[in-house]
Amino acid sequence: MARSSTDRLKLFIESDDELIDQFEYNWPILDKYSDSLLVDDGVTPPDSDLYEGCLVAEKTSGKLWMAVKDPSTGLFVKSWVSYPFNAVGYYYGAFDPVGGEKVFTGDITAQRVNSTFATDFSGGKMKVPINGIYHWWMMSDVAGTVSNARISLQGWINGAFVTDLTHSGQPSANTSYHSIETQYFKAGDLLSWAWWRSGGSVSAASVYMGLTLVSPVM
Amino acid sequence: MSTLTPKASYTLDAAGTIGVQHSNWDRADQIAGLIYTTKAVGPPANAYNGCVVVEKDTGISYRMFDNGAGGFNKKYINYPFIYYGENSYGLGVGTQGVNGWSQVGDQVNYDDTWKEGAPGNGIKVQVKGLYMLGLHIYVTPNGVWPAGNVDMGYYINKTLNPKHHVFFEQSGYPFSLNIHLSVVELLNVGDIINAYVYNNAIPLCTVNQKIRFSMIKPVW
Repeated sequence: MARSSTDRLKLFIESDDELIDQFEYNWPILDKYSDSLLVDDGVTPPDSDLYEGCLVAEKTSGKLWMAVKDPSTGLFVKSWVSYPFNAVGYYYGAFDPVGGEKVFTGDITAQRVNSTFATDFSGGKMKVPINGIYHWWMMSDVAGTVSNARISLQGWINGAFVTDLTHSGQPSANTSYHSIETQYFKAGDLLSWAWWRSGGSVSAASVYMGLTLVSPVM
Repeated sequence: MSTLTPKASYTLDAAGTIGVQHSNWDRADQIAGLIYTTKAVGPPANAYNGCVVVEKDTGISYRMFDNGAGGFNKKYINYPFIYYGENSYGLGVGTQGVNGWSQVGDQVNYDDTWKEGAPGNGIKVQVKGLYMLGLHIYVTPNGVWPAGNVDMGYYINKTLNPKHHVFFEQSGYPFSLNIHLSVVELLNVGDIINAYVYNNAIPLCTVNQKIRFSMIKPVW
């Protein structure tokens, strides 16, 4: 039996001249699916509006995803193609020399890209939004006297200490710590920080941590 | 009577008539997938809301969105960009570094629109996005460092942000000082990027500075 419509977009295929008027129904379909389906931010179309490989673009966020059928459920899931994301958490206040995980008191609103403190921080820890490869950076200014001592700024992932920056033998006040790494994180990973010191006196400090999505990972 | 579909402007004829539907096949041919163009030619006049345009010669791609006034706004999807510049000068005590850059090596999609011009001679951002700013500053003292510090980093819109700089305390030695500083920053169109060097210690030093400034991701 001859096909009456195309496999993907369900365009009418008519070979009988008397039915050529059915072509009329094709144009709205082509219009809807030209290059990608446009939706308002955060809207997920029902599965009946999707097909395997359909690109869905959010109108103002810049996010773009591909509909991929989950073989275990038969339902469509999002495979992110583009997901602009940036968040910067901060802490201002006293230097607490006791080891252990610390949290952020807020985020820098001017640096938000598809991010809010409410959605992308959990208990003051930065929460990774989707699987992806990220630039992850830390910065701290430390003021005080730590002669013949060492100070570390530490990065923590999911409650575990994973990386640090250490200065030692520093003569007097005002030292800055900067680090940047590129790392694969999974959705829901929690990022935080801590200080450590071997001696001296440190009066106050600031800490910033930034997370920038370079590329989504399926 | 013919009407047009709302996005891609296909012709719709009255039910049961063929009318001018034959004209749609050329339209479908033009816009199926991506619209290809070149930087010089630009997007076609009959682009449609949400269409993706790719410049064959630059790798730049964008979506066109109705601006409500009969035209379109470009929203960049991909914008390969890197600028590499350097500068060197003498810097006295109690003064702030001179800015401005000379291009070095290959640039990607950089042109004169990205130059601030005098007096600051910084780099003027043309596309909103997340950028990687990589800075290398090399300071050579004229003799021994007295007590004091050198503060080096980025100067964005003539403002020194706490997260964009590095302090150094030096005294009693004639050694040169190198810093490498990389930061990720959301920058807006018109933001001006410069280096910041403040010397409160050394009678005269020589500063060499290099910048690599690259786009990570355009932001809408």
